[in-house]
Amino acid sequence: MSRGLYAYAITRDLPLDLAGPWLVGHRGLALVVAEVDLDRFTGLDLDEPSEDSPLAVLARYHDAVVRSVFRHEPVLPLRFGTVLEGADAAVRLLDARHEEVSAWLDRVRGRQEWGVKVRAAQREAVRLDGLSGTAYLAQRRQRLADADAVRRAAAVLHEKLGERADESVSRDVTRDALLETAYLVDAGTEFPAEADRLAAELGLAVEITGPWPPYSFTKVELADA
Amino acid sequence: MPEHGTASLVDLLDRVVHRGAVVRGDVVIALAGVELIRLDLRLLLIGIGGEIR
Repeated sequence: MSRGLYAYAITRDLPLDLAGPWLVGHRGLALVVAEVDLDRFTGLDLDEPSEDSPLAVLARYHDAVVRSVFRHEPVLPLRFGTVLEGADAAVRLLDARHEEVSAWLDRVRGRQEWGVKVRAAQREAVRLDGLSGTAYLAQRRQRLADADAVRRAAAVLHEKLGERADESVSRDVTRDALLETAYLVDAGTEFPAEADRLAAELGLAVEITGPWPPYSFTKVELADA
Repeated sequence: MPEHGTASLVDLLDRVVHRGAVVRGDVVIALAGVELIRLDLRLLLIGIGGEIR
């Protein structure tokens, strides 16, 4: 059985009671870590992960640890499956990336992430029986116009939400999702209520998730020097 | 114990496994299994939501 130091996140080096994981501090920053059995992380099955699959259980726990830090301090979440050799390695990492991580933590201090998704309408099959060619074309034109209107409304929603957020990260529009964006906003704002209101005004059905720790704004790659 | 979130599994896996800062270098123990999952999941998530910009 091989063991390693699983790293969940980086935060400020301040006292935190995490009931399990602990902090390895260095120069004002700290890695949130716990010793794990590496065998638990091999061979995880991704085919239709269910709530009680090993992957789901480990990922939920990872999220719970990140959140318990997030409730008190700014947090830089690390990607699932980050395992260090030991406490010395943790200190080396914090030392090598001190400035970068400090700046990042300042950027997300007091902020949280909200996810907003607008799904494309389900396409119903056109019933061709008894439909004249003219009626078919009219129906098709109407559908295209409707789809276009929804797409424009989603773009307007994104523009207005962007004005209320500090930053946003979007996935490309697909056939299924017209808008799938994470917004980084001040914790005190009424962002989800505003998003609901704006979507209703625009006649859009939205799915809003959050508040999340700033998972989607972690486009940093930390390599030890 | 840290509280467990109630977010949907897809949203959760999207964030926890697909996002989050990546640590590289000799401080990290390579977990072959996780690297493989990461590849699989990236494909899965592109299928669901498009590549992240």
